[in-house]
Amino acid sequence: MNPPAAFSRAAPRAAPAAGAVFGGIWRLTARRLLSPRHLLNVAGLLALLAVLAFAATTRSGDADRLAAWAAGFHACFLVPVLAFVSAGGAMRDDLRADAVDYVFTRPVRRPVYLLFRYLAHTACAQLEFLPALGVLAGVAAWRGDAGFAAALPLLLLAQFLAIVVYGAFGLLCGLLTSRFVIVGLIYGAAIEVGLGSVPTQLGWLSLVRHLRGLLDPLLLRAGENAPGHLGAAATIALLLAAAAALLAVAAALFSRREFAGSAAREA
Amino acid sequence: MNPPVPPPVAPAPVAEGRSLSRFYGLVLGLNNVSFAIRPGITGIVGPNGAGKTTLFRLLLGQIRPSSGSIRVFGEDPWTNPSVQARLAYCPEAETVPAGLGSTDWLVALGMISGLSAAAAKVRAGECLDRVKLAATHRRKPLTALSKGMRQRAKLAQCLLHDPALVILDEPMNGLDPMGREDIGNVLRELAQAGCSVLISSHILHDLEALCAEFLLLRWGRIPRSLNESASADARARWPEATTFRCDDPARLARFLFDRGLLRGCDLVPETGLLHVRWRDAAQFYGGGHFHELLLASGVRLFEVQATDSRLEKAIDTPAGP
Repeated sequence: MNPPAAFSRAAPRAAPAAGAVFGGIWRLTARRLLSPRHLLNVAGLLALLAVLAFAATTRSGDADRLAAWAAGFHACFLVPVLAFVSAGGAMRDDLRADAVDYVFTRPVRRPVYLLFRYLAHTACAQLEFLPALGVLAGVAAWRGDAGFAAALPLLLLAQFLAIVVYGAFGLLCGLLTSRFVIVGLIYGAAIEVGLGSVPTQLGWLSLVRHLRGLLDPLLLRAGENAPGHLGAAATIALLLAAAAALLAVAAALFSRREFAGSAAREA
Repeated sequence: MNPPVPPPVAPAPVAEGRSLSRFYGLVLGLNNVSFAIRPGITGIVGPNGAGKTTLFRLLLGQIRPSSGSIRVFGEDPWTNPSVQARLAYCPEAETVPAGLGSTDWLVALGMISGLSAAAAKVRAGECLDRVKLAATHRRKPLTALSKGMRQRAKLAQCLLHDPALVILDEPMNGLDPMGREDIGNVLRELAQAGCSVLISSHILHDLEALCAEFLLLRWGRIPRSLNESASADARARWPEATTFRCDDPARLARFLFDRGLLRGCDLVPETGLLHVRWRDAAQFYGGGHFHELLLASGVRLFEVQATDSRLEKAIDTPAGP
């Protein structure tokens, strides 16, 4: 019995083109993250954000405080937390026993997979978070805060960087353990809240502290104190370097990782 | 004088392991096994926990041996793209990505294997045609497909990049008899086209119908005597007992006894079952005329099932050296 005539031959490729590999990983990522069900969840979060923004400015009685609230709560807390959880969850799902078998039995090197997965996930996350700034701008317009428009570029930059760096951190933690949220909580308490608020050299380990440094003009406008920070360009470079370092560590660990499935868990 | 005919040379093994062991901490996966997997369809049989999946993961390069060596296509498979480019794997678990249809999924995996988007789309359609996944089911999310449909999609993803070795972990689970026949046909076509197939299944009759060779695993070891007994004389591997479900089991039993075919039988008239033990199974099955013989009996048959095969006997036998 011969194969059906319509069944063509496809030569196996030991070194597939990077563009094709990224295209495949992008399809797997985007179809999941930009699915109607997932976007419905995002819409719910946006509605919640609008309510919180509205409530925060109502309580203060000062519409000008919206930019400061957005800088402090949205860019320095909400976006980092969600970016961390989203990237960690994606990596955990990728490494679930038996989910790995379809991709990692193909001729793609693991560091390449990790990099492309990160890029695809980060691009989707950036797209998902963009409407949040639109929601905040809408609340500002409702409140008659004409100055908020001027704060948008800085907020956009901070949001972009937060997704880049916390996405990389989430990816690393999701790779290390399926309980990455616990690692995130410990990190948040020890580094961001603990060391980050202490004006010492160790405080530099706090990524949020650098984000806050970038957002100083907005936070200062609301009368917050600004500890000594790097310039904007140096902060951007530092955050991008931190993301690259986290990815490099993740890639090194991932290359050595064994996928033993349930057998390893029994051990 | 004719020159002496050289003895037949066994084809080079596709994969082989030497003194291969793998432990997960204190848990035994495989213990000092040596084997060679040759071209064709090879069945891997053993109870749960025997080490089948560990062997698959070693062959796929997803785990490293604790000791010993493993070669696939003559190379170490551990994260080796040149080996992985020629491998395909269909895992046992039904985990498939949520939110994706089978065509989308196959196109993405095809691209990861190096096909362009257009080529991957064409290829995905061909593979889904080949496993007979109906066009109406291809846009449905994979998670919404029935177990049998999902098995077909899982097999289709193995065919995308024209592999030289396909490893299938329980691919027949959840398939109806028609589906098992379809998948069996695809595997036979692959083998005839030069692709090696390694398949594990608990449905031993299907394995016996498909496989030329077997690898029996028990407690992480490969008992040599059992493997010889299971793989020897594959052409004459007929079941030693058969169960018939028919409208008159007593008449069928008399008919078969009269022809000297039976060593013994058990009748269950209430359910129309007749369990027979053959005097010489090859006499019944071997000539290829058994269906004519059964027609000649005049009994209306509903089901014929082999119930005691050499493979089953080999598995049930206590392991020797």
